[in-house]
Amino acid sequence: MIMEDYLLALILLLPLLGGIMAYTIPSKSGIIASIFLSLTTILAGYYLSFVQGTLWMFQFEWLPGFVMGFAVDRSSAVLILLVSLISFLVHLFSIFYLSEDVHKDRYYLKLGFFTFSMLGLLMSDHLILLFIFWELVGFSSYLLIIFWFQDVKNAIAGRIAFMTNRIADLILFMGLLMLLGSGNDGFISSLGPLPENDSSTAIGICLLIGVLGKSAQFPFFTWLPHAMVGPTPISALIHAATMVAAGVYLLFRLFIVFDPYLLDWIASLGIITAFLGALIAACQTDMKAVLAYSTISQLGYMVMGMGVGAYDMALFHLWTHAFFKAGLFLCAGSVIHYLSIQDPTTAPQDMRRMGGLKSYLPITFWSYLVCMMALVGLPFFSGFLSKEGIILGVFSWAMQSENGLAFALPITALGISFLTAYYMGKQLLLVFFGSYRGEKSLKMLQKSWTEILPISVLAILSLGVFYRIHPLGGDLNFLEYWLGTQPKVEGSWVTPMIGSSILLVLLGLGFSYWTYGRQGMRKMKSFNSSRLSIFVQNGFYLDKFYMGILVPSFDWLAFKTSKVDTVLINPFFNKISVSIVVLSKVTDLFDRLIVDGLISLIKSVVQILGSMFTKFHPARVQIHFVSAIIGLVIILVWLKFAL
Amino acid sequence: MSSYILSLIIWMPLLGAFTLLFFNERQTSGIKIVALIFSLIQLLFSIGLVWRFDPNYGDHLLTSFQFVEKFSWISMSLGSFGSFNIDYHLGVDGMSLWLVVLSSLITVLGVLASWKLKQQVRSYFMLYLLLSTSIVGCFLALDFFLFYLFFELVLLPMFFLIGLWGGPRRSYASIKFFIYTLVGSLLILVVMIALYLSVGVLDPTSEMMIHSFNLLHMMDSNYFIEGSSLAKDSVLTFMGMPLRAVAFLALFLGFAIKLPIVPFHTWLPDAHVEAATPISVILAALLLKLGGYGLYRIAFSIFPDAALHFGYYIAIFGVLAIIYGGLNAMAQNDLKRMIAYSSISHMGFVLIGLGSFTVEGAAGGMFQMIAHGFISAALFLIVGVLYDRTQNRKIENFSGLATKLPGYSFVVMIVFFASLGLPGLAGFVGELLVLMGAFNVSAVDGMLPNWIGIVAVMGLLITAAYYLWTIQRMFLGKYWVREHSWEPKMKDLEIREWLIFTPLILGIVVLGMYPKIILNTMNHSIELFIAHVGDLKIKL
Repeated sequence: MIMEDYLLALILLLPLLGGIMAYTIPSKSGIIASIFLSLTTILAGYYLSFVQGTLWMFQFEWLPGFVMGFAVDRSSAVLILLVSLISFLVHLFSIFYLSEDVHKDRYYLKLGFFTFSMLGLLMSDHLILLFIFWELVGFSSYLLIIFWFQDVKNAIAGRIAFMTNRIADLILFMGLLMLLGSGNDGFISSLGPLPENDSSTAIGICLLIGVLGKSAQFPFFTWLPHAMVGPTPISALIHAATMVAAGVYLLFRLFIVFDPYLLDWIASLGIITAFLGALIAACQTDMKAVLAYSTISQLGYMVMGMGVGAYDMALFHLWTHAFFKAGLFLCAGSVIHYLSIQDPTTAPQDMRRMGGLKSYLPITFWSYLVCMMALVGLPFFSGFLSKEGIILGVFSWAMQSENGLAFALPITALGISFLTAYYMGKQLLLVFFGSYRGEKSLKMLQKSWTEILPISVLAILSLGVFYRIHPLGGDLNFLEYWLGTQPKVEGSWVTPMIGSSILLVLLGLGFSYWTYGRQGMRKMKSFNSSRLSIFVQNGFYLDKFYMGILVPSFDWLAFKTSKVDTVLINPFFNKISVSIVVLSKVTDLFDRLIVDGLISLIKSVVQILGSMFTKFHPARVQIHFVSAIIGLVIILVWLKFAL
Repeated sequence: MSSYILSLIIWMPLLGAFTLLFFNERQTSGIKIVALIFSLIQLLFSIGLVWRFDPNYGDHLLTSFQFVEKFSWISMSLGSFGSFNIDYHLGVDGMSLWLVVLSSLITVLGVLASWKLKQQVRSYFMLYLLLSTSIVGCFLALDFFLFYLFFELVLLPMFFLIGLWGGPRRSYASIKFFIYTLVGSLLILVVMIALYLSVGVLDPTSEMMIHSFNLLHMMDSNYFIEGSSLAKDSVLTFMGMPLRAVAFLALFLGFAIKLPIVPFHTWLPDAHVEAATPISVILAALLLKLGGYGLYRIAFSIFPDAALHFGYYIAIFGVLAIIYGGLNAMAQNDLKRMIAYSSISHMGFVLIGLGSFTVEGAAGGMFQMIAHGFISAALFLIVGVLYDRTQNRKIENFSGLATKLPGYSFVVMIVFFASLGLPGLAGFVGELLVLMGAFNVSAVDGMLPNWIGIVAVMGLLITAAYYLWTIQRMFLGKYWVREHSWEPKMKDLEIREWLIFTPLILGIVVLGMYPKIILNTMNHSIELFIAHVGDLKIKL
């Protein structure tokens, strides 16, 4: 269909165009970019309204004999809507958040470029095309992290984030190239299982590492907290809802090429990440850091879900998580923005200084509450549906597994529910309840609709009622529509499983209240800082290990290599040239002493002889000589004529 | 097709150089305008060449040359040695076409970049135009002698341009450059003479052997005299190696010094650092390509059997250059030196592409050369911008330039990221093609093992590391420069500089997004090239 072509091209290009327009008209940049994004969102919704089960494809020859293509089916169309909707809301929120910034034009250009790349990633049907957009997403994320580049800390954080991504991306690139090299044409829609041999294992591992890098999984997750130095709306869009989900999306697309053995590994890495992320989040004091590690933890859930084969639930969690996590980040942005105006300090994100903000930021508070309930997974909220789905999927996977160790996964997943509830409850109490622990007294601020609207829309979309009317059981029509699947997990263990999960969440919330809510937390010093919690708070010093040991040793290697040039190669060739010069000096000496010497020896011999002869002919030697020659000539001429 | 467009392209700058004789030393603006006009005419002609170029011409490497001009130049009878023939023989195919366009474009930009030159302007531009003639001549010559003549003629103006208008250690750098390249040239000369003696046709009337330097004859095994030292079935050996292999190695080394390969690369950082900005641009964007082009056109095309034999080792040299150059670049604190080492690193991909003996690899290597021509020219101009303002290029002397020079930093961002291989910009395509070639061939017949490709990809990581680090140190953070006296000079790009950067950036973006613009015209020639050199591979 021709119309479909134009429609999807518009959806893809409008954000970029909006960014460029916003850049050219700086005074109205926010509004212009938002209008373009709203158009994209509407078009994406419109496209979804008539998209059939069939695959839309568009192929083109990028290099001679090398065809690439875009393709959209319903599962990606839904994600396209998700990305454009959240991007639109973030654009709106940015108008409020960056109202004081002088470089808004640049910001919207970068944001539009990011949205374009992300949509392109979702639409691409060829591995290389996907990699191209994959890299562009990473690049635009880098540009946005360093948006406030005057502070060198942000610049360093951006570099670390980009480099960590780049390592994983290049390994992914290797995997893709090996896949292409093994005779595959590279179209994702026509991928099949790989033949079982060593090279396909290598390919699988390479692809897996690419996923781990982009989705901030263990051991690559250290870049995500660094990425939080960017503006908070960016954290909401890129580092919570969209870019980090790209890895999960790639897992979904390439699901078929992973062999079962590797999928078990994926599931284990997912649960490790989910656990570590939750543990670290529980020890944070920075408001955004809690959410960052929580994102890592939730991405671990999704990756685990993919690994155990519950890919529909993992994608569903991607969807619900995008809304409630973006909502949480925007709420954090609202809090940070409020405090940085009311009580400017160097640490506007420190939760130990907050408290009692419920009455100053009521809408933020209620939205936060809804999104948080979705995150911890309480019934009536969206997160409950997807999280329970994943946990049930893991449990049934463990039941089918022959290895008894497999039950560690669902049990840990339940434990993580408790941890998640604990750190979210802690954040809620520290930020919104009690009384303000800062120096100044706070005032109510005039609310702007660009702040309220995005937050409340995201909160509303985190309600469970959109996806399933019944809070505890029943069919998921949304999933059926989206992916054409229906979770079929049955067994006597389902109800106790759900029950214990809800119980653990409530326990976690209660525990956080018991630690932080009861005494009202008036004093900052009552926060515990044992050695263990500092160890955990610093992300197990994994980042310190990379930055303190791996990077310097790499620098050392580079430095040593550069010495090869200056110490080895250059002196070697210099020695050669010096020895040539020495050689030429020697020949020169030879020339002067031996050759010249011989000549001058002959000369002196002749001179001595001459002077001896002059003794015999003291005078008129020349006359004698000349007359002798003339005589000789005469004789010769005579001979010539005579003969 | 009888047309003299190739001659026009070659000799136009020389004509300009002669025109400059009519100017006196003080008419500087006149001299610059003449140089600009003649280089622009050359550029117009080469664009016209692209316009009239038929991308699917010929069905064999030897017959695929277009716009051929062939005149007998020197011809004499040498009695029993046969007759001695040198032709003025020019021709263009898909591989040389874009190098010619690149050369004429870079020549124009180089004139613009030398606009502020004040000392000895006339001799500078005469040498500069002579350089341009000889570089383009190399790309178009189809007679080995003619090629060699142009190849040597490059050295002369380059030596003086570095040695007279360079930085503080210019004489050291220019002599180093000269000696290194001369050693390479001598190796080429020896092989050229040996080839001349081995190639010939028997004149049917006089029964005399007509020797010639015709490259096309040298590529065709039918023209080799039976029993001659370099014939296909020659059994002669030199130190235990077949003579053909030795001849190939000599040619390879001769051209590879120019490319350059590790460990014969140390002339390059010195020459770059000491040369003035426009000369560095020519050096990186064009002179290195002479080496690469020589490998394609001469070393590989004449000795495909030996090349195939050494393909693996050539690829190893490529990997070595990528990693070694990258690590060295990382350790530099002089921006220009860093970029010089990054050139070494990027040229390694050309060797891997050649060593893979696939259409992808060879096309990738060729594309990498063109893309690197654009990118490296922009990189050295970037250094030039800073050096013009401060006479300094140490990385640690600058910080936060993005605040003060936003336009400049925008250019830097694009060019640096193009160089580190960001998809969508020119640098990525060449690397992608080369790596595809390397991984394909490893899967098909295992000529190159997988690790070559894997290590090359790791090289990309090193590239990203040093560029990002440089961006962070020089352009981000708080604005600060070492000397207070630089403060008033730190102004953003002026119109002339934008004029230089715009075509380069356009080229980088267009090549990155729509590489077919080049590959479509190049592909046929590359296929013929691979059919020619890979011919034996099928038999083996």
